Amino acid sequence: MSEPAAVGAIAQSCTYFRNLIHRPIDQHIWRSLFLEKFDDPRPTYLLNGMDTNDYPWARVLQDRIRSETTLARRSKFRDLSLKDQARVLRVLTDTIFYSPMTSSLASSRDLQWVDGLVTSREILKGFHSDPHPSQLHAKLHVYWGSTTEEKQPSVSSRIRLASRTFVYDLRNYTSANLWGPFQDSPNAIVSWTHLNHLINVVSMNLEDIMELRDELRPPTGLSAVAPYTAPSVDPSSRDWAGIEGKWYRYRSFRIKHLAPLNTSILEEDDFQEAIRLIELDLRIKDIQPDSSYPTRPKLFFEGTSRSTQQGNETRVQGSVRMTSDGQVRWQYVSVYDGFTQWSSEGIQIGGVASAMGVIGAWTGSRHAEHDPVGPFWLWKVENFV
Amino acid sequence: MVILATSDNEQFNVDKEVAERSVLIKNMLEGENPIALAVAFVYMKLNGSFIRHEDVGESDQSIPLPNITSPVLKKVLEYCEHHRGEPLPSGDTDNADDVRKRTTDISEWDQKFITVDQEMLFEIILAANYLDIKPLLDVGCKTVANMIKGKTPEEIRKLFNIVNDFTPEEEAQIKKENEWAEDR
Repeated sequence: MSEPAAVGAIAQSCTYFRNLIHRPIDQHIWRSLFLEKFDDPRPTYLLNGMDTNDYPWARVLQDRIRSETTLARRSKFRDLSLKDQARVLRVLTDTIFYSPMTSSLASSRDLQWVDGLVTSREILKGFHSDPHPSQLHAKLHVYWGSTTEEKQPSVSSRIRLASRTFVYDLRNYTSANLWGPFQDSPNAIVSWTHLNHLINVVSMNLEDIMELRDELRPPTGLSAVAPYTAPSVDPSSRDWAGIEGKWYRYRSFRIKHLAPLNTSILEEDDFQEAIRLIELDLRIKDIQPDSSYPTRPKLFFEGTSRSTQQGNETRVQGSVRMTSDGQVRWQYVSVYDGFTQWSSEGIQIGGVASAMGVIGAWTGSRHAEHDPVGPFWLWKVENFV
Repeated sequence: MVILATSDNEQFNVDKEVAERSVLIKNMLEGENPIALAVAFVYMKLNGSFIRHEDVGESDQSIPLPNITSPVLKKVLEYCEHHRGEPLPSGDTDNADDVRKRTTDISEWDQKFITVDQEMLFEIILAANYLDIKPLLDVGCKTVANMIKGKTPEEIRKLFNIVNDFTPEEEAQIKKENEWAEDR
């Protein structure tokens, strides 16, 4: 039994202790219990534009302990009821989202806690074979990355097929989902299952390139999704999303696209998919207030985009804003000869200005019937790279 | 030397360095904190326990400790003697590192020192609180916390002679209130 659990027991012994613990005059006891086990959430909370005096110490700690005790009741995550699974997944993904700025897993007790539970309770085991995973399960998988199980060749080829089928199917890009990784909703609610497929396609394409230098691989893993882990970012500046500076972007596409798509084509040997590395340089052009997020105004940016292979330069322009479900949404178009050519919709993976960057989908900007579509992965790099 | 007088009128001659493990006594001797000094002075006056030896100099007056009995003070001084010369903890903070430091395990000597009956344990905690000896207060509290850990509410009541004063309706509500902590 953990120490917070002992506090739960003593609160049940008599009225005096109950009032002392559950109707405290201040947050001292809950704050102390919290800091004994987890990272201090106040710096990240502050960066998210929230008042640290309002930090709900008791609620967050109780939610985390409840996840532990719920998981302890069953040996495997999959044996929990769907309601309990959702509750645990929400707590784990929120813990990652609000984890402290950190350079490694070892230096964060929050991330170690998540790491320990996901591993010991097999929370992502069998995720790949679930035909209809929940959004929260997919969100955790997006944050976590591939599991050891998923790296086995027989498993990974099945995942690749499923993800390619989804990502390159034009029916998954409509005005209803804003032509990107969103659920069919007018409020731009992120679709984590869609994002998961997009990441799978790009990361597996990168795994094919054995000789790729480390700096050309986007950062992954729990410590890459913590907020403000991207290079050249100043959380206190007007550029709260860390837009300004140099970025790398991978873009994958099918060389032969046929519609409607069926999976047999993807299995054929002549299915050809390409991946390109593009270098971007971005700067802020305009800032406009966002009434739903007073501390996170809409940022409008412009810049240049240059393929590292062909060298021809195009202009890009776009914006970064918060979605109604609290995620950071990136939208941009490439302008060629005065015409917008491609448009991209992406989501920052993890906290604000995470090292892992932005994953999304690009399509023709006019969304015509046979326009191509594909995944992209955009991440910030040191300016001198 | 400092003379400490207990509630049962025993006097203890103590090295200044040892007595000053108590922040209360340290402040009184140094007059560093005039407010603490004034509060202590008024408190002792009200208790009628301020003993003044008219025939000796100011430094020889004894410091009365009206809340502490001689067996308890003896125990507390044993702690102060063992830890003499160690740096005193800094002010009260919420810093995560400090919280961790305060809640780490008890050292072997302290563990042995605090292995006493429950009545003495609580007397030591009260004395450490009154005398403002934070590390000793921490050792005492950690020991009580260890006694609670792993016990059910009923076992806790039995351990500390707590009377269950909840109505059946309250019991149900309380169970819900603490659901988050239930292992089973």
